[in-house]
Amino acid sequence: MATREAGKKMIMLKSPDGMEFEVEEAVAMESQTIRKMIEDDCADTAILIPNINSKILSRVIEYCNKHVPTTGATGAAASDTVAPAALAEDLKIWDAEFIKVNRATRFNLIQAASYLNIKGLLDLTSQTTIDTISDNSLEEIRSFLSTKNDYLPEEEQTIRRENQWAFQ
Amino acid sequence: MSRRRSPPSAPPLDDEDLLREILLRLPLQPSFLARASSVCTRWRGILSDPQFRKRFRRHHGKPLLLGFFAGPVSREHIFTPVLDSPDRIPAARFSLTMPQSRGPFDRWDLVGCRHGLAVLINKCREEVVVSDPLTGRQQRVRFPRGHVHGDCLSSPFKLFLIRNGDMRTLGSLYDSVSGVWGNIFSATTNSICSIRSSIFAGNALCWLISGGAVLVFDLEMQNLSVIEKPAENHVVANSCFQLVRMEDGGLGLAVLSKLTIQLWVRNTNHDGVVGWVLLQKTIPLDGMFKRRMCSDQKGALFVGYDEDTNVIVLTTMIGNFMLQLDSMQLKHIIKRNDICFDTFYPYTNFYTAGRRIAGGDGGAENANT
Repeated sequence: MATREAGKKMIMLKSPDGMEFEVEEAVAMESQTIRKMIEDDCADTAILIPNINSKILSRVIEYCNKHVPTTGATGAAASDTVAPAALAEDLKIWDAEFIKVNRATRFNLIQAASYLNIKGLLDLTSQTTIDTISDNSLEEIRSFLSTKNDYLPEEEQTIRRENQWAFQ
Repeated sequence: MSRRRSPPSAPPLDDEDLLREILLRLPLQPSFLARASSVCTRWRGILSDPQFRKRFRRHHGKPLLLGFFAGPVSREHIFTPVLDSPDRIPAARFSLTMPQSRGPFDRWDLVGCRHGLAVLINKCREEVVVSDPLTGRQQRVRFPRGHVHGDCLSSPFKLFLIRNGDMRTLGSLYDSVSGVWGNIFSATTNSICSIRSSIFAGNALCWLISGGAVLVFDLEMQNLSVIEKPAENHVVANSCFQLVRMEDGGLGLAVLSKLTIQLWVRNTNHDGVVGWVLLQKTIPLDGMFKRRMCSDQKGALFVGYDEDTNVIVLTTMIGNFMLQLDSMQLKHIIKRNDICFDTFYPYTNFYTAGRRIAGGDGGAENANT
């Protein structure tokens, strides 16, 4: 849980399973949904985040903490001596580690990123799904994504013929 | 927090909004879209939905250059894909099939493509056809004082038609929303170079006039005018001129002389007068061709240009090359053993497979010729 630092406004986020997270306002505002609530003055006490359990919410906060565009919050990597390119590279490596989660967690993170409207996290979590589409056969894509093929046999045949070039 | 969301335990790909968010992030490359729309009917439905396509376009910005339509005048134009496998969409997926000709003068001439739509003109029938080559949908527009028939394209478009003769060019703007032609504009010009498409630069459509001058229709000012050719330029052959769109969106003129491309741009001088200025930067083709052609084969002409990707198409004794003007990257797109003078019309679009099956219609907001 975050500790209060001098001069930094803090916000309380509550998950439906009763956990409370105190985070810097700047970190919470990485979420456009929360930003709007703060700007509309709907956030004087704690903000309840529905449908996102404490395990997922803590991961989301971890992501926002790393990505908030201020120095200090990201620790040593954000020191003045580090070039922006090195920072971006550091974030990329951090992201790659962050997304090494099981499928259920990843899907929950996609839902959370979408609901909370955190563009970077949504890009990151969607990317694995997109990679699945680019690297596998049709059957594998359907199996990985638990999506049922509901084409009629003759439709399936037409589609396979029409799109054969894309699977080469 | 009023939006309904599935509980976290449900597979998120069952959530329509979430699936749309993920699919929106598919890369532009046609193979991704074709693969994704092959997964199931729901995915295909989303990918061919005009609302989704609009968002996809906004998310990605510029569409890709899929290839060129090229072919001899009055014959059907064949699509030449330029992307590498697996994004190389076969030519058969594009169609510009027009009604059977009723005589030697009854022919459809392709005059250009913009925003995913191709524009064909039939002078004998006094008709323009605006066609979506990916869906096969077409909308016909009679020349001014006529009417419209055929399919209705889902996206509105504008069409500027010019007629040239007797040292004069007349033009009129058609708006598919109102379905009417506007005022007739007129300018004194030499003949318009028919082997070149118009380009869109600034907020104006520009046509090359034989000899290097430019006819300009400003869409905002609704004004037809002529820009004289650069006074110091001594090249005269039309196939050595190509109008280009500069990085800032302004108008440029590429001139090919002795295997070197020079670039003229419209610029304002100290006195506030707008004129042509020759850029220091030149593009030497000689070196680029060195490894590919023996010395007696050397020679090149312009045969096409894509304003969105800033790519010029050249024809040579060994086929056609695509030259990206910013990166100077050269790509041999058609290999043959003789020179071919066919004009190349670039085609850019977002590709979604099977739009014919899904019944959706994608493409354009705007087409001009």
